[in-house]
Order: sequence, then structure tokens, then C-alpha cells
Amino acid sequence: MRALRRLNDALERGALVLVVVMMAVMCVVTFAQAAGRYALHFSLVWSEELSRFLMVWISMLGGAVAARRRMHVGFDALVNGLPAGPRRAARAAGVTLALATFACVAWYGYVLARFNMLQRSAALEWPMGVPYAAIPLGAGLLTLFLLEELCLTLARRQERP
Amino acid sequence: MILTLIAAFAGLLLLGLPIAYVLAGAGLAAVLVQGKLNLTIVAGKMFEGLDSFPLLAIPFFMLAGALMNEGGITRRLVRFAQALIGWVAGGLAYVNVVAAMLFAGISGSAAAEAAAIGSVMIPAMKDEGYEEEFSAALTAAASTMGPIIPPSIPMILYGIIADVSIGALFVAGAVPGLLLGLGFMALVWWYTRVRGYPAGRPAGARELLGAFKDALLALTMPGIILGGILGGVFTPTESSAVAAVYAFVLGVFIYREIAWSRLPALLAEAGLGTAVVMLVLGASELFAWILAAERVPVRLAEAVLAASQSPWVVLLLVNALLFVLGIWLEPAPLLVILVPVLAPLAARVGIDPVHFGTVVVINAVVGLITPPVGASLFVVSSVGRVPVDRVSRAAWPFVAMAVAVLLLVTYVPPLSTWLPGRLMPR
Repeated sequence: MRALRRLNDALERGALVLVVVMMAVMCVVTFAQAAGRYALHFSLVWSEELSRFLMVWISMLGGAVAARRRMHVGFDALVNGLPAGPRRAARAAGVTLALATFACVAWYGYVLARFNMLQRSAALEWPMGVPYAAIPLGAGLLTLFLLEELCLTLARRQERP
Repeated sequence: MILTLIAAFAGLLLLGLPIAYVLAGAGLAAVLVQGKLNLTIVAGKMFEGLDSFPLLAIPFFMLAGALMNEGGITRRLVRFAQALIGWVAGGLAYVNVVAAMLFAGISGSAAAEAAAIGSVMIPAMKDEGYEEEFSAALTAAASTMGPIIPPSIPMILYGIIADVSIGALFVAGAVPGLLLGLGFMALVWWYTRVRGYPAGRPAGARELLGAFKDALLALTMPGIILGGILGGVFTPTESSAVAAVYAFVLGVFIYREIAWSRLPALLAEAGLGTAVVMLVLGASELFAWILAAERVPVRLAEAVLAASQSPWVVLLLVNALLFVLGIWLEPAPLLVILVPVLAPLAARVGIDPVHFGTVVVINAVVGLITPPVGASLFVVSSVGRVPVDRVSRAAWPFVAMAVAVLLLVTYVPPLSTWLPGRLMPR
């Protein structure tokens, strides 16, 4: 459990650094595109594609980080209204289902990304597996974070029977 | 397949999971039960949902908002609003609405606006003797102008999902947004009469001019965004990048209030805010695809049209549906789930797509302040340290006013269609 938390701490920090760098690059590239076309009448053919790929990566990595920081909102009024025992059971069930979902997304994302390594993107001519890899990595990260959340939920149940 | 989808959606939602997980899980469950589709579709559709150029406007507008707030823009806008109207009875309450209106021209998100204005205005109003729940509820209500007065993140989403010009939707939101502001000011006027709220210190002409000059560079931002889009200089997506760069230059080089060392934190804030919206979009792509594959939009349209062909009845039904669902769902998931179903229906009975988009977005945004669960209510409750149930009770008159404006915009189409018709090349 402690090992998992340390691992997740490191992963969260790493993912956040990537998000920050990608945000900065995306902003510069898109602005350069608009300014270049308007002021200098030249256009970067690859800028739109690069920005889109960065966006996919930011969404998946950032989505996982946001999950660990509990930034995703749900409708939890009903669950919160339950007595303590059933409440924990409902939470554990929900987290387990979410964990299974994203583990599934991560696995099939991996299959899809590997399959797409052969295909090249239109402008940058990168393997399409590069942008696709955001799905298995982001979903995998999310799965690890959800595993930690599940452990926490279950541990709390043992503390207060 | 459709029954599994809806049952799984309801079940996961009731378990209290975040909407993004609920949508992904329901889509996966439906695909598993159907059993014939290749399961890579769960990852493929998520990628397709995220891989879209117009969506780039979301991170840029979020970044612009974060930079503007950090760069002292909020304070300057409040100071200007104060000099403008702070001296009448109930002055600070009017200042709250006017500052929110000005801020709305920069921000495209209600939560960001509620946090920014609330952190300045709620303590100030409390100090002057306004009830804290009134101050918080007013701030939440005024924040709904953020995504209605352009720029607007929900308008971008609507434009992408329903394939309507984002520029036209932006312009269409201007008049309804101002109407909302006027409506809230009318409520402030009434409360001031009943409760005798105090007047602020009158500002001299020199002070007003000084505050105006100080805020001028921030006030030109909406002009740059809208002018750029309408003049064909850049696309709405590019305008969002221009807005972010403008806010950056203003905050770092001109006002010099943002230290370089703060930039990573601001980029992280905007990046995570974006990811929260985007994960919902990515997860909803499969969900929406299943709805379309099961011909739900067509079947729903047929069922409704069998009952009535009148656009007015259809609009009433749509408004009622969105209002009820909007109490529980945030604008982003509400739009991605329902717009693909509702937009074809509206087109069938001949409702103007820009008009319909404006109505749908306003309705979705009103859900942010509808008790018991409204995101803006939670934001002002935490920023202003007021218990959320008291904010909720104080919010009802504002919700009623917002609904009145919604109905006005619904049944007087020129309020949303006239301005884009005049300004946009068709």
C-alpha cells in the first residue's frame, strides 16, 4: 500500500510536469500559426496536427492527475446520505467498476496503439501510435490511482467496523 | 444495447462516480453486452473524442482566465465597476454584477468566474453589512454570464457537437448575457429597497477616469476576440490562443504582476481544468455513438413530432427536459449527451440552429446555480465560506430570474439571432 502510494506520487508529479510542458508548447505553436498566417502569410502545415496530439496527451495525463486530486465531479448526494457501512460498500463497488473500466480501456488502447504504429499521420508523418499511446498510458495511470483509492476505501472500513 | 447503456449509466451515476467514469463504464457495458463489436472501440472512440482542433479553444481560454486573474485583472475590473456604479444604494451588489459582466468578456467558464469575483467581492460585501448568503448567491448567479457572454466554453462544445458556427454562437450570447445581468440588477434594486443596503463612496470624475485607464487593456480583450473572429482574422480556436498570449503579455510585461516562476503553476491549473472537461468528452464519444447507432435521435424526434409539430411546444419540452437534467448534470456532459439527440429534432421543426444553441446553452448554464447541486453554488460556498444550504436558499430568486430570461430568449428569437445575422456573413 505504501509502495503504491509512493509510486503514484512519483507518477502524478511526472505526469503533471508533462502536462505543463505540453500546454506551453501547444500555446506557442497555435499562436505562431495564427500570427504567422496573418502577419507573414506563411502557414505551418504541421502545427494543427501537433496541437491536436498534444491535446489528447494533456487530456489523458491531466485527466488521471485530476482524478487523484478528486477534481472530477459526480452526483454523490445519494451515496453520502447512506449510513456509514453501506456508504463504504457503495464507494468500493463504484471504484471497482471504474477500475475495471479503465483497465479495459488501457488494455485495448494498447492494442490499438500498437496496431497504429504502422500508420503515419498526415502532416508530421509520425506513427499514429504516438498520439494513440496517450489512451493506454492515461487510462493505465488512472487505473493505478483508482487502485489506490480502492485500497484506501477498504482500509477505512477495517479501521471502523 | 440501449437498455444496458441506460441502466449502466443510471447505476454508476447513483453510485456517486464522476460523470467521466460513468459515461465510459456505461459505454463499455453496452459494448460487452452486445458482444459483436471489436472491443478496441472503447479506446478508439475515446481518442476520436479528444482529437479535435476546435476543442483546443478550451485549454487556451482556461489559461487566459488563469493568467488574467493572477495578473490583477479581476481587481482592476472590480475597481472600475466600483467607480462606475459603487456610489448608488446597494452599490457593492451592483458592482458585483457589473464586474462579473466585464469578466465574462474574458472568461468562458462560470466556475472560474465565480471563484475570481467571489474571492474579491464576497468578503467586501460582508464587510459592508450585506448578508453573506445573499453575497454568495449573487456572485454565483452573476457567474452564469461567464459562459453566455462570449467567449464561452459551452458554446464551443455546442458548435462542435451540432456543427454550428462557433463565431455565430459567441455573438448570439451577447444580448442574452446582458439581459441576465440586467435581470440580476433588477433583483438587486428590489432587495436594496426592502433591506436598505448601503451606498458606497461616490467616485470623482478623475477617479473614474483613472480606474477606466487602468482597466482599459483588460476591457479591450473581448473586442480583440470578437473582432478577430468576425473580421475573419482568426478562427475561434486561434482567437483563444491569441487571448492567452494577450493575457500573458499583459500580466508579465505590462502590469508586471505575474512572476515567471508562477507560470508552471498557472499552466498546470489550466491543463488540469481542461483535462476535467476533456475526459468527460472523451468518455462520452462512445456513449453518443451508441445512442446514434441505436437511432435514438430519430426515434425520439418521431415520438415528439407525433405529439406536436410546433416549434414552440418542442422548445418548451426541450427546456423542461434540460432544466430537470441540468439540476444534476454539469453543462459539458449535458451537452455531449443531449445535443446529438436534440439538435436534429429542432432542425426538423425549423428552429434556427443558432437560436436553439443559445437556448440550450443558457439552460445548461442555469443548472450551475439550481439547488441542491449546482457547481457555481459549491464554488461560492467554499470561496466565501458560507454553508452551501444557505447559499442554495438565497439562490432561488436568482434562479427564477435566470429562468425568466431563458424563456424570454426562447420565445423571442431575435434576441439571439439578430446580432449574428447583422454581423456574420451567411
